[in-house]
Amino acid sequence: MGEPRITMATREVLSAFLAKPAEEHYGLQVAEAAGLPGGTIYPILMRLERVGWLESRWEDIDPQTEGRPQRRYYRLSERGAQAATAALAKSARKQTFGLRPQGGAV
Amino acid sequence: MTGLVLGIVVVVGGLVCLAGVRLASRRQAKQLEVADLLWVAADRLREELGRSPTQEEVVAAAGFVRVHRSLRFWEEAVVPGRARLEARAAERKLMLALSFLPSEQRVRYWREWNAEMATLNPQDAAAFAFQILRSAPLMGLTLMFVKVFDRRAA
Repeated sequence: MGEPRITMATREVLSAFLAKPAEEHYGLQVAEAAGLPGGTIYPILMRLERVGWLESRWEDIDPQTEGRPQRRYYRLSERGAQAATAALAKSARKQTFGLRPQGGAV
Repeated sequence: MTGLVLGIVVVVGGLVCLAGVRLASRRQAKQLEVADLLWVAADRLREELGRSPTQEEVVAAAGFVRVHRSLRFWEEAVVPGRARLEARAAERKLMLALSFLPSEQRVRYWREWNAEMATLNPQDAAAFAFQILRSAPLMGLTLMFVKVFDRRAA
């Protein structure tokens, strides 16, 4: 499995997951935590799920009782948690290097 | 010859007059629709709030002005017909977005996005559906990549 492209939005999503790594989140919750518009995070979730960093499952509720449909919940996989931490650290290092006033990457 | 020209002028003049009347009546109908919408919004807000709503509240509740979700305490007071129309438009956008995805993934994402939209008010659901539609080609490519090349999209 490859590594996903770490864009700014991907970084925000991963940070949101890493803030509560053991918890499950549904799409809008992730979007809110990441500070991104609700409908824009699905390509990211899709990519992260495809590379195995995220796991997802349907919410275990009775839609009739709850009065709303079942949500899809996402959580970081074990491998995902490690890889995401490493990827964020790497991306932060890159950013710091890029922002150096002198001698930084052009 | 002069008769023919005169005839054409009369016909064209008549058509222009008819078009003018039609446009005026359309404009009038539109104004009436807006007035109705504002009237219903004001009526519902009066019931909801137990006081006379301000002009800004009526205009926002009728859907003419976008206000932040935290300020929309009258969410249920939006005109029902308008809410229904917005919900149908959002549904159409969602269906269009699904057409970009591989067929075996459509049911899953339809369920997932519908579940998210069910908890949103009509305005936010419409925005959500629009954002989904905008990123649908990219999502379709991501999924297609896996399907065709049997490898993970980077």
